[in-house]
Amino acid sequence: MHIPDGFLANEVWIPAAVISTAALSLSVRNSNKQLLDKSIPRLGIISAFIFAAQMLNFPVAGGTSGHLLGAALAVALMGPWLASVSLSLVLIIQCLLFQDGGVTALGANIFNMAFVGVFTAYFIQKLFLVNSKLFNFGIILSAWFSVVTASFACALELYLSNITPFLFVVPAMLIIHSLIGIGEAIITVAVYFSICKFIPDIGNISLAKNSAEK
Amino acid sequence: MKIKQKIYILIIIIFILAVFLSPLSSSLPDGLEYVAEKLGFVEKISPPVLNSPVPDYNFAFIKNQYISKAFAGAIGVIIILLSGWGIERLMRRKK
Repeated sequence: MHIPDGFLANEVWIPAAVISTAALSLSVRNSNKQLLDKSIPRLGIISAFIFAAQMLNFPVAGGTSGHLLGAALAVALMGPWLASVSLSLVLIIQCLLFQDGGVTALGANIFNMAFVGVFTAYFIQKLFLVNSKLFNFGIILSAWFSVVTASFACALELYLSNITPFLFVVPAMLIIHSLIGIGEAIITVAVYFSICKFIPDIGNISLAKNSAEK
Repeated sequence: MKIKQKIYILIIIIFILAVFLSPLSSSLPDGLEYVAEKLGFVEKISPPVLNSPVPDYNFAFIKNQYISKAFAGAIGVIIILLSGWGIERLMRRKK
């Protein structure tokens, strides 16, 4: 759901860019507290994984395709602040280097995926931090919802830009992304468990462990 | 296995995804493109405001589109690994 140049009106992309800049600086500031373990270049590796995974489009019913967003995965592994820095980094490189998402829409894309997507995932995962079984279920749910809420934000921006009626674009975006969200949920849970098994240290500032320590 | 070895394996897996698997991925329109086509606002896309060096993960000088995308994947992964590592170091120093 990378918005290209031309879709968003000035009244939409300029405020979105301002909000995202402010939000990102807040994220960077709060991330400092989460950087504990020096031995793992966590941010680079997880961001690179998300970038690679976003290149892997899988076909979805009805002639469309989707790919991993990675918001829920990033939140589960490194908490919401670093996750939003990570997603923003991926979006900035995709935009500037590969023209994936327009430069004018970059702020909106960061807002939708690195903030709406990430914090949706965070609040749902937090809700399910009762025990490990429930947390696993929370990861699945958070992955699905992160894609759907991000697509809702995207649809809202398109509507506010006056290029398409609310009653057309919102249901259309939500329906397609609720299908793509199923792929997101499956990939997220599979990757999360593989990583936890193989290299648990990489997630040692994860939501689960943070709360266990408290 | 030591943590360093595990990190190298993880990086190798990431390169395999970006270089060998990404050229094989679906080229169908993504969710937003599909909706834009169906609802008829796809023609609102304007020419890019800023010209990227590698538009749509394709290098102009590489004829074969699979090799081109594989190359783009490798470059992207390297840049993100390095910049992520750099940002993390900067954030640590500030602390």
